[in-house]
Amino acid sequence: MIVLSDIHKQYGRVRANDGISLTLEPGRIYALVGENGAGKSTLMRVLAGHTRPTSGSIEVNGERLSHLTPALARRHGVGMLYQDPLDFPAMPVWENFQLGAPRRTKRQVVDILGELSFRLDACFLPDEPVSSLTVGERQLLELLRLLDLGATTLILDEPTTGITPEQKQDLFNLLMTLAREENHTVVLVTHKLSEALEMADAIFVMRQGRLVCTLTPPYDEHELVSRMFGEAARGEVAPMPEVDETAAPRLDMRDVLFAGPKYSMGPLNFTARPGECIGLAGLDGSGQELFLRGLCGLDRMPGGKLVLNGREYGSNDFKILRRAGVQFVPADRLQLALFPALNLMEHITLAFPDRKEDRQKFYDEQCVERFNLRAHPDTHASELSGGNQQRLLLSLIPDDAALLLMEHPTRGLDAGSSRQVWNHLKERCANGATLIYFSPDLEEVLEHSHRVAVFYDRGLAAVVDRERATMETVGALMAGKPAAEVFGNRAKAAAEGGAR
Amino acid sequence: MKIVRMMAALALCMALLFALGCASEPEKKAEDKAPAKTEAPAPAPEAKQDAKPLTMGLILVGPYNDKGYSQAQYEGGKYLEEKMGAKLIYLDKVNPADRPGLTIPQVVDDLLAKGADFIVAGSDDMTDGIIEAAGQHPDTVFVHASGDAALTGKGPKNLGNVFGRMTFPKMMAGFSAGMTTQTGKIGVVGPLINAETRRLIVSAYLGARYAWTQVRGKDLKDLSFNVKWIGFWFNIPGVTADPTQMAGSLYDGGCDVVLSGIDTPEVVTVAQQRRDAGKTVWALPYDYEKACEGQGSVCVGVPYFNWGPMFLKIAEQVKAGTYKAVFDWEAPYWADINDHDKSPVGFMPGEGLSADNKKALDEFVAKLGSGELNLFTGPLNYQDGSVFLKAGETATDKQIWYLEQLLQGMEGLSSPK
Amino acid sequence: MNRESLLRQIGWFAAAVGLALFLTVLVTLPSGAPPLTTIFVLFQGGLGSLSKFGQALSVWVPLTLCSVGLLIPFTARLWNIGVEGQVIMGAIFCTAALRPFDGGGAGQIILALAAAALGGALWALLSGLLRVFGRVHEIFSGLGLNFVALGVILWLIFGPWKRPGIASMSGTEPLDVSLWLAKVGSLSVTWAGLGLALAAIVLAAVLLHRTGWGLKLRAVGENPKAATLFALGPRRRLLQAFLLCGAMAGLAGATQVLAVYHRLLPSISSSYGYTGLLVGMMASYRLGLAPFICLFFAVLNVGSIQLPLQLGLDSSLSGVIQGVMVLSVFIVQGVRLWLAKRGEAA
Repeated sequence: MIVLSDIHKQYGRVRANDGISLTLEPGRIYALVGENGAGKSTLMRVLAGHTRPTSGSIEVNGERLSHLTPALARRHGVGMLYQDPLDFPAMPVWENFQLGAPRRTKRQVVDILGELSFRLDACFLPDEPVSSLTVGERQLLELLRLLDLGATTLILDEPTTGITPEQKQDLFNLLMTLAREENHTVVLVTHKLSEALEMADAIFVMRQGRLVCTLTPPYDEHELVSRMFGEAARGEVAPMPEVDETAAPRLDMRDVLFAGPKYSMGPLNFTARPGECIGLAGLDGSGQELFLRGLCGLDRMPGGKLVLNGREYGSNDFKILRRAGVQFVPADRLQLALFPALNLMEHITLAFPDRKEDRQKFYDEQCVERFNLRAHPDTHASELSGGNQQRLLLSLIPDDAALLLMEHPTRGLDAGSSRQVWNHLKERCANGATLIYFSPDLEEVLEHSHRVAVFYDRGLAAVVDRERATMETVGALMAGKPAAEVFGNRAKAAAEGGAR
Repeated sequence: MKIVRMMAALALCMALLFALGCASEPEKKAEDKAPAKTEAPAPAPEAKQDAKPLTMGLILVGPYNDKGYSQAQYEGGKYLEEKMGAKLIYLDKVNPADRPGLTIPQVVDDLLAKGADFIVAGSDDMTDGIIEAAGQHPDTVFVHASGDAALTGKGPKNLGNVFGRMTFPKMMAGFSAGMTTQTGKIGVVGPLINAETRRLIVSAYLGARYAWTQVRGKDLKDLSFNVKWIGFWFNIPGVTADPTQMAGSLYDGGCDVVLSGIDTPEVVTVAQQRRDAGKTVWALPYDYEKACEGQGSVCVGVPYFNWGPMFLKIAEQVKAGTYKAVFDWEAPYWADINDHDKSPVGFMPGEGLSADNKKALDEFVAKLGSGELNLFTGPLNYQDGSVFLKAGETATDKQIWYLEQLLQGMEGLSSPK
Repeated sequence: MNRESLLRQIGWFAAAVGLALFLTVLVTLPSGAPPLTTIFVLFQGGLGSLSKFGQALSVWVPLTLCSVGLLIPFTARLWNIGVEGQVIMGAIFCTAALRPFDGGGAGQIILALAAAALGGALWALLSGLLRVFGRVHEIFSGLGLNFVALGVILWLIFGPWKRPGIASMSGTEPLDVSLWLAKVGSLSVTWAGLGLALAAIVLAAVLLHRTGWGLKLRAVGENPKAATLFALGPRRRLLQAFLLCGAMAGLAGATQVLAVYHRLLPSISSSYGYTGLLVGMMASYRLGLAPFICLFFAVLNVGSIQLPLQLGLDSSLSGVIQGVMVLSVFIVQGVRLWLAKRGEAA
């Protein structure tokens, strides 16, 4: 049993954790939910010994401590599974499994790994390099490693990002087994409410560094949402814009080949109409990234033709396409799309050189009024919150942009900001723009797409229209099931018709 | 805002300088007064010359303690202090690499401000600068060691030249090498190529040739004399060729005696290493009288400068006001070329020179001194086969000073590519 | 953080000076030198009289040209370490332009200056092209090109441009007096040199802080990938930055030839390129500070010969003192950053 009492953690003026007390009991599954920046990660880092709290105490197995160290946490059986697994991709499975464990021969390691895998219904080839495993498998391996090291309290940080619905189900089943049969404590850190509702014996809700409440079943979803987001939860989600079926296609790809630094794909044939929102679904590295980067001209197009607004392009020069109204917004905003040490005004000057004279006016109209960007114009981009960064980027996209290509439009945004971003994007679509985006969050893709293009194994596997796009069908396609199997023969024809 | 910051920075700099000045002013004054008393106040033109010791301003190209060319000049200056009670002020390492941005006229200004009565510039490199400086101070005596402005007439009236006739010690070095070699192969690690270095290396060759053919009675065809240039007076990694490698390759190529024409002692070090590896080899360093000390039997001898007597002569003339800016190329003091008080250049035999050979050397020196033997006597051909001196003809000083090529029979480049 | 109060800046500066003094005392004591006198003599030697100040200024001119030039590529986060070679190339081009003339006047001098700027710029462009199209980091290409430039100048001086019959480090035949830059009164510094340095400062200030070009260059340096997304033409900007810096470095080389040595010699650059890099780092790449730090270095440089002359000390001690001062600035900067970081973390 672990008891946290009155944990405070301050970074400068920011109170990341503000007097948090909670109790974790063996054999139970907890969910820790909250928006980004609510203090979930800090709290879990305190628990895993990576962060020393400013004040407060931690009681582990009856021992009262002011803080934990990683070694101490491990000795007390606390194991943390990070969002990005901390493994060494070039090393084989058994060596990764052996990391941090006392000295053993390879034979012993393989035996223990086999035993654990059997008990938990997993399967690993000990000599396979970790780089060939999927994200889900790597997570599972990491989990086995933690168990092998004697972890009895497992903390999982956003474990369902980047894995298929099926893998997610397997993981949840495993966690359930560990808690119910082996009496382990499981803490699930997540921002997805559905997961918390599905799994948890109790939900801790955090908001602005405080533990606002601890909910127990039966859960009231509305209560959970309003506790999590406060006022921001209230607000309308814009409906999907209408698409004019008769309009000439905005984009027509004819036997297009794309070549990225790591792989190439194609030939691709795909059309999109004005006003259409198209979501791309796929596991990491399935091809959706290359699709977007190729379309905007950042990656090479060795073959095929692009037809944009009726004009044919034999090559995908970034500048030419940009002038033709193609805009690309990468997911990693600070790394790829903004200038960290330049201020807002300077960004505006760079994006709209001709508005240099009246940029203050532009800022007031565009950024503040339309996008609700509340920051001083002298603020550096790096000092903006994720939401404000996205607002800034969106305000820098000209109104007449015809084709918007976005990577994970709501990455790192809280619910309120996400909704605002989506409402804005839909407004642009309603005004005739075409949006093609991808998101690792399948729910988001399903919610905001007229059609879903599913990528598998570096290729376009199927295009599914809104009616057929469900968690099950898209999940199965993402995992590599042929469209024919998923929909039956007739449906497959329909799906392929969509792809034309 | 920016201007304010700049002003502030400027103000700070000033404040800092003031602070430094104030902090150390009293100390400095005390410091200055002590020597000033013995020195007597410098700015007193009417004060009698006798009240103030004669001061020589010496500009050295290398470090004053380089165990080579510059140290020899520095010790010459010290000799002056000792013999005449004169005062030496000097600045060493005056070359654009060691003191970026410093020009000879600036150094001269400083030396004069410190009370120098005449200026001696030590190196060929200072030619242009010293001409410029002498032009700016027409009432001061300037002497350029190793230059030739007084000979060519390019320099102003107050600039003279002085140099020891190093050709003779070099002949002795070559002679010793020619006597010592067993294989008949002699190597030279030369510095950069110019008239001075050609002159010196040709002298060494003539000495070696004389020993080989006239004393040992061997065939000239069996004597090989190979010159390798490194490109400067000392090793500058990445710029010059590496003298250690050069010497090594000469020894590896069969040379058993290697003469050094450069300012630093790499050649002796390499010879020592070969000795330790069991090879019978010798070396001859250059410039510094004591270069053979402690090197044992690997060192045959060293030709060196002894600037003391030359400086003394000039200083006395300057004091008496009789100095004439001439081109002065001083011969050794033949009665004893290693006499410190008399000979401007010398050759100090090392342990590597056998007793017999030493006797032969003494005879050779005597012949040179008496004028019985002049090695610059024809027939001598240039390296390209053209005639340098016809049979029986002897070379003039100008011909030797401005030697255009190496001689026939020598291997190596006569002029830079 | 980026707009700290003036008072605090001064405080930090004072801390650096204090530390420098302390360290100097520590370093000089074992060598038997009186520390404060040593420092006093050093500064006195560079500022003591008008003519000394003139000498310091004549060092300041090329140093400022280099360090101000370096700020331009640094704005794009480029370390143009090849600036040393660009100074050399400037000097070579300058000399080459004057070789056909035995004498001349303003026309020839302007031609020589233009040639020098061109030479430096072309040499910098090589680094730039390697960086932009060859993906060779400019530090490596710059270092390499520095060696090549040194090779070229040595080859010229010992080869085609040697004085008749002589190849020596003392360089080429001196220029005719009519081709020397005019001095300011009896001082060593020249009008043209001062003008060039001041013009470079003004040009850099305007370009970097008052024009869209400067903003774009900063953006390219901040985030080249984003610059591509904004269609700012990052490659072109990087090359332009290299060209400008190279041109200024070339001019520095020209002032060395036309105003200081009046001929080409192997160490014509006086390592001002490398010193310029140091100045840039000490100034944290702020244009407002660079000229003053250059002056500081110039004063030390000129003052250093007073150590052997006045105190009989080995003049390498001035190098040590200079090093100690630079080190103190970096230590104080480091402490400042560390404190700032700790302040954030606490």
